[in-house]
Amino acid sequence: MYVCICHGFTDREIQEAKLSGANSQTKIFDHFGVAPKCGKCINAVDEILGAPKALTRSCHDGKATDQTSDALADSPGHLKKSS
Amino acid sequence: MHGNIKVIDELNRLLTQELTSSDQYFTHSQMYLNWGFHQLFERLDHERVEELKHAERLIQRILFLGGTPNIGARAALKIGKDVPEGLKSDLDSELSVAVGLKKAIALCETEQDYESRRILTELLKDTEEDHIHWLEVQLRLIAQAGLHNYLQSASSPIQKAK
Repeated sequence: MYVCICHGFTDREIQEAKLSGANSQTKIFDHFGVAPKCGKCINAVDEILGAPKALTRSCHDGKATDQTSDALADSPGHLKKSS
Repeated sequence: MHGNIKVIDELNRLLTQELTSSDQYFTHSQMYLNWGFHQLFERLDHERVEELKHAERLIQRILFLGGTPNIGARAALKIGKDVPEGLKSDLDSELSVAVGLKKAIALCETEQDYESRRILTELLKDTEEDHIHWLEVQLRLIAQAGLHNYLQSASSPIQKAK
């Protein structure tokens, strides 16, 4: 499953990155050479890494900003690019 | 009419879930179309429209209660990399919508907003008996008939040359 839809990387790719030593959120994004964009995948990345949930705003609190909706609106294009 | 603020907040949370589901169906349906699974595309496109109709009813109710519908908010999308993953993540999303609806129905009952409760009960019926059931059937078919057979039945007929 795609975890980050802004940059199009999957849970499997995160597992592989983890095996090659990327054991933190920052290292995961460094591994893919990108920076977090909309931020909605942060908790999912932490979950895969086995870290406690990030102390960020929950993805499900329904209070996303306009900026995050814009980022999501772009996502299908990013998905295509990554495949 | 001025509605209960707790009910309006809960309706807004549900609106975010419905709009997110619609976006997720939209993405998956277009991926399936691109891969040639026309039957799956048609069904998911229908689901996408249904989610938007649910969103429409929530927006109408929020406005009626004097609230502001939060149209821009979205939860994290769960996009599968292949057909079984896509169906599984759509099922996950529908199951969490059902949980959200039940919670909201209980709240409406407590706050004596019986009309919101009635609307939400209708949405729950669609979610459980239509969407969740269909997705569960598809995953069962994949398990029983095998992925290749399932995908064959989901694909488009081979087109004749023009």
